[in-house]
Amino acid sequence: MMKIADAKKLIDKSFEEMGRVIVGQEEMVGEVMIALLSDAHALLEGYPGLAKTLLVKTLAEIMDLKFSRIQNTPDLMPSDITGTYIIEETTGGKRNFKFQPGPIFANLVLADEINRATPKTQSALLEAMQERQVTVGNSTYQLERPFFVLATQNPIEQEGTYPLPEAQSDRFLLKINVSYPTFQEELEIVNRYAEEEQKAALKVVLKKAELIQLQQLTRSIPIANDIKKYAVDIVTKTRNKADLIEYGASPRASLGLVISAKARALLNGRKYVSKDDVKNMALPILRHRIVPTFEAERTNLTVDDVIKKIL
Amino acid sequence: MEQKKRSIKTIEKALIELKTNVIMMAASNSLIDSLVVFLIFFLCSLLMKIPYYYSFIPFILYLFIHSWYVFKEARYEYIEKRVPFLKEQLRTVADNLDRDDPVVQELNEDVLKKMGMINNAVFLKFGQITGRITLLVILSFLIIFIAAANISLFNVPDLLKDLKDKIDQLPEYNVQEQILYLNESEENKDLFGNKSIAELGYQELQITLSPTQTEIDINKIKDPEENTFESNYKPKEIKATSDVSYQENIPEDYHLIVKDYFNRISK
Repeated sequence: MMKIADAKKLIDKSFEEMGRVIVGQEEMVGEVMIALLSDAHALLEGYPGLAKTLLVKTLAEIMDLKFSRIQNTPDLMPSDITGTYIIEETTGGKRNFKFQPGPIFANLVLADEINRATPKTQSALLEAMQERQVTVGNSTYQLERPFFVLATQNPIEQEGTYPLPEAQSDRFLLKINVSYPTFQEELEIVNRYAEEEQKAALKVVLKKAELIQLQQLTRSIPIANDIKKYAVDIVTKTRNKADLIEYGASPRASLGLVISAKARALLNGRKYVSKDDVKNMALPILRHRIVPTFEAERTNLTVDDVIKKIL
Repeated sequence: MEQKKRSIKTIEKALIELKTNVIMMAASNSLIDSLVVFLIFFLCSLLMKIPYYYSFIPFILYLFIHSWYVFKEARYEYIEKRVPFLKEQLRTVADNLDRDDPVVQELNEDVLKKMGMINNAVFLKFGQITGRITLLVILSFLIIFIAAANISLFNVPDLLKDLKDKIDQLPEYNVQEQILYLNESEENKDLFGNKSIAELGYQELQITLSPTQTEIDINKIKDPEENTFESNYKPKEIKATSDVSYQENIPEDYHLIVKDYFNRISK
């Protein structure tokens, strides 16, 4: 098994390589990497033009992973995602049904504007995310590992959309809020892409096998019992705050919090999980898993504010 | 595999040794504190002439309570606070001793190396210990001096004895004597009436009863019989009523007249 120091070097190289394309957005990049190391999926919410798609494409390039993009629209069908049988004519004139895999059969899948797809299509994607397999007709096809879905949502223009129900959004490990870059970062973006047309040639720094090893390494990072209890305590508190939270998080959140804390520890080159890791991961883990009460919303408390009150 | 097992055992031993050292130091601190308490109470017992062995009671109580509290606090969290470079690592290692994992092994090796850098002095509060030892020395000198000069502030056993004697010497309150004293005093004639009336009771009374004018049957008269009464007889009801005249709201001007009236009746 890889050593932690070697793993840290690989991760740092990946960040360095991504930094050649993506300016700033360290928090978003870090959290996406955490989701990747945790072998789980992430939901990105942010305004258009904040490098969400660029991030996933860059990740796929530096990790030599198969990338596919699903642009969700209301007319998208489940078979457009999973694939379907097509009739193929052989040289002998015989006709056979051949399975044509859909865009879900990739290592890195970008599901753009997932809230624009119909619930039926959303379910097909979410089922594939959960089971890591696709059933078409009588056949079941396993999805190749690593398998990572990055879904995006636009917080504005909610007309004609189908918001993900809380029970479905639970399948995403993290919900990452993407914010605007700072002034200096935006200036750097302009310098890089407006004045000179240059496309950075990216190197493959992390191979598929290495990524799988990193994912295994993440799970093996030890955690102290009281820190584990602290993580579970945070999640159970969301079920006991009836004045602020109508529906609390499920045990999946406790599991996700511990795993993502381990991934964060690995990201920082530590061989143990600290309380700060758990505290920092609480927001992206919980914000899409709790429903604030009407009273909380009436007092202008956002979901993040409610979670901070619990912490 | 053998090396892994050896490594795990080494870390386990190291953790036990570290915890033992911390507990020993905490126990020494408790003992020093308890000695200070003992000497303070010993000094007080000398000044108040109380037997010295009473000083052992607060000493033992303090020792037990302080030790229990200190041992309860001697956890890895406490050690990590004193040794920040091992923050959250000791607990992680202690909770994952049974895991046979390359990452855990790496962590164990790291922690073992760092534990070698721990100086036992970090667990000692030098200022506090110096203060306590100084206090012990001062108290010891004071005790020696007071014992040699036979100084005492007050004698508590004698004080207690005097108090007990005073309590014993207090007269018992005798109701009959009090009434007799009041009766024999001429000052309360208005309250208790003429003394000569009370003295009538000591004299033999000669009464003549006319058989025709009385309902008393002389044949039924006999000597009083001895009757045994129940010793624990309790009346079912005790009731007291005041005379009607006392229920009246007598105006102040008439008080003397009413008194005089009762005096004349008694005459």
